[in-house]
Amino acid sequence: MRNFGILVRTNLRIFIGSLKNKRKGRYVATGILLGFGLLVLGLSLAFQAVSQMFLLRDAGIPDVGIFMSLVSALMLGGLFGLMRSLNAPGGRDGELLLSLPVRRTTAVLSKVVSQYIFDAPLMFMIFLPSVISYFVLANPDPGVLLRGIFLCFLLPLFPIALAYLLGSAVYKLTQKFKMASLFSTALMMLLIFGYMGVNFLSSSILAKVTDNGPAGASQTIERVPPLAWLTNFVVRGDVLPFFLSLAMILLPFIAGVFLFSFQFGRPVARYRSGRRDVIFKSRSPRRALYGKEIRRYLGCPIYVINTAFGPVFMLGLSIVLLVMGPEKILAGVDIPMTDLPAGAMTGLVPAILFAIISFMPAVTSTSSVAISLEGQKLWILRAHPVRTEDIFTAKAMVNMTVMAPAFVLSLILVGIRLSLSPILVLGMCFSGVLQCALLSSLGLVINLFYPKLDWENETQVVKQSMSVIVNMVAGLFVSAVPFVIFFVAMSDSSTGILVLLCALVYAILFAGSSIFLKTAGKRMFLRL
Amino acid sequence: MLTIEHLNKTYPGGKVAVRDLSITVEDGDLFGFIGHNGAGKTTTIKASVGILPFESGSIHIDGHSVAKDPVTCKKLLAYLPDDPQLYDALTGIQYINFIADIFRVSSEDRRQRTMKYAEMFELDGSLNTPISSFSHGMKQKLALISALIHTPRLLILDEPFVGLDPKAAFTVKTIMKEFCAEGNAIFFSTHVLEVAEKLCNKIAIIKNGELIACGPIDEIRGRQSLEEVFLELTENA
Repeated sequence: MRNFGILVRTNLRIFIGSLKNKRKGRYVATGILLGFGLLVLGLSLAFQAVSQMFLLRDAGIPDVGIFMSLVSALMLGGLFGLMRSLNAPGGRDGELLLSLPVRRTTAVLSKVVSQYIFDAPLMFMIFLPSVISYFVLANPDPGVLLRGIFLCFLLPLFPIALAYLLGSAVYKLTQKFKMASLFSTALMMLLIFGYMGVNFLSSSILAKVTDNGPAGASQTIERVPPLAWLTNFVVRGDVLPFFLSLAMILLPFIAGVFLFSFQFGRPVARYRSGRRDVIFKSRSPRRALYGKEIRRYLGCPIYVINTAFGPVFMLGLSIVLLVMGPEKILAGVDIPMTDLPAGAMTGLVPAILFAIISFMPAVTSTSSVAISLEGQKLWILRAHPVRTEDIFTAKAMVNMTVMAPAFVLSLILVGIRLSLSPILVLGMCFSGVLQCALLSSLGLVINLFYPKLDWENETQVVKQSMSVIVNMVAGLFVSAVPFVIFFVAMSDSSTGILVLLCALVYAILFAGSSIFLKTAGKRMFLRL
Repeated sequence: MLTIEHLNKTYPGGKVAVRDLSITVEDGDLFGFIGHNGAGKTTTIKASVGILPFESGSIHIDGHSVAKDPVTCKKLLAYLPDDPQLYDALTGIQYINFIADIFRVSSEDRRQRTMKYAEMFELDGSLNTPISSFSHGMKQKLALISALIHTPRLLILDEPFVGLDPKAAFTVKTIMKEFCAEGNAIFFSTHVLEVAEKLCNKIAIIKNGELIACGPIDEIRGRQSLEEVFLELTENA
């Protein structure tokens, strides 16, 4: 028991230590920032739950509030579990812990409990406000509160179970297939979009359920049996749903922990090729650098997931526009076509769409962490006869490869649907490519100012480095360019002028950032 | 081949890593660089290969300044760090191809050299395997193969024997001797004094960033063993 306590404490210290910066003072700042972030998140989730419960109580269907909050908790927990499943099972310290006089069960349980401590606050923040507001507003029996709190403690087991079960599957895949990381990335993207889709649909389901009244509400809940069991257990306290709820969460959890325990501390076996034929293919140094950067990109699922969002979203939006047409989309956001001025379809609407599409790739640049991701391997580029400019170009080209084709394709689809002139579409594409080029070089500039070369896993760079945050802010400014020009400079002018002015601004900024990279940027890189 | 003159390097925070260090490595030299942990060996090596800027002094490789003309210098040399971190996402052969592409080595030349060294290091069966699956020793061997892929004129190696099995260590020693016999030069750091004693024709001993001995090994050693000389010099300096 004493060892168990020591191990859990150490796991928490490792987590806190990973937030620590080498510079003095940063540790406290990170702690305050984290605490503040949690507080804001908690308050906003509580506010959302309470306001939703008020609305549903007035509609006579407060049970739906519990149902919806369960959907959110399980979806978000599931997403976290999925993301964690990409890490190697057992953790890095498995061998170390097993070499100490600590029982395997103690070591495994300490890991599980530590994970529970990390996951529980979020689950509580999502589900508990709904339970409390249901208890206060719907006047149910007092058992609701107890059952709700009991379920709050059960819910964090779900992401843990998912992470362990899926993690084992991903682990098996990486042993069997060379390109397993691509599969994991695709799976993850699919699940994230599924999550977003469900989130998007949940608001329309909520609207429908509110319209249909209590009968419609219970029909909707009963349509998803596992969630219905959990909801009925909290709301009514029925015995059968209680056991079904327990089984639904505990069985996968036990199976997951069993698998985790089996893999804990075992050496991570990876794919080994049986191929004996070796291919020797020569390329130019620039192409070699670019090829290496692309492989690096595709080999890191978290990097792909974080940055491919913009282009995928952009393409999705333009496909929806192509299929549904602007009329339905505008009607969906309560702007009837009759409210639009004459000629809006060739003036205002394409201008707005161009501005919206420009926003998508602005906040998800691959360049902002491209230098940081070299990490301890930076010596390879530094010790070989390659020009720094070529290194920058190769890194920027990855962002161009990811963003520009999706950008151009989206704009072409917009042009087709709105029957825009080919010259305007060409201009929009040119401006879009210039924006991508600007974001590619700007990301590198930002990364040079905020490099993070000393990292343990790529998630620390892709998700937690300062360059990503600064790049997002810079991207927001870049994506504001069309909006600013639209509202300030061209109330009556054509979309063509907007596109031209945007292209001009992007070109000037791109030239500035490129000059910076060739001069000061080069010196900064050599000092890293 | 390699001329270091009055090299000075101070790290941010004021730690003097190297002070007024001068070394000359000539063609055919197998030059050992010896010192305690933190003596300044790796700093000197990193500065020599152009990956660490320095405040004053000069480093020339075959007459080209590392500070002013780094790309030309890097074309002439190959560097192997003490802990070669390689691109995990690439396979062994992809990494070799990448380095060969940088040096514009033809397909045929890279095939010949890769197969020769991969067989010597018994790595030929693992070239299609991702580097993430490699052990430390395998990475070391792969980094050595890629260092030799463009037939450099100067090899700069930081602790090249760390993590190698006895057979691989023997192979490395053989390659080093052959390399220098062909008129090329090697400048390498090591903690293993026996290796330096048996392998090198010249050595330099560094302590706290300052050179305390440099020259032909027989002159420095005299009638004593290198270990005795090293301990005597480092304790008295």
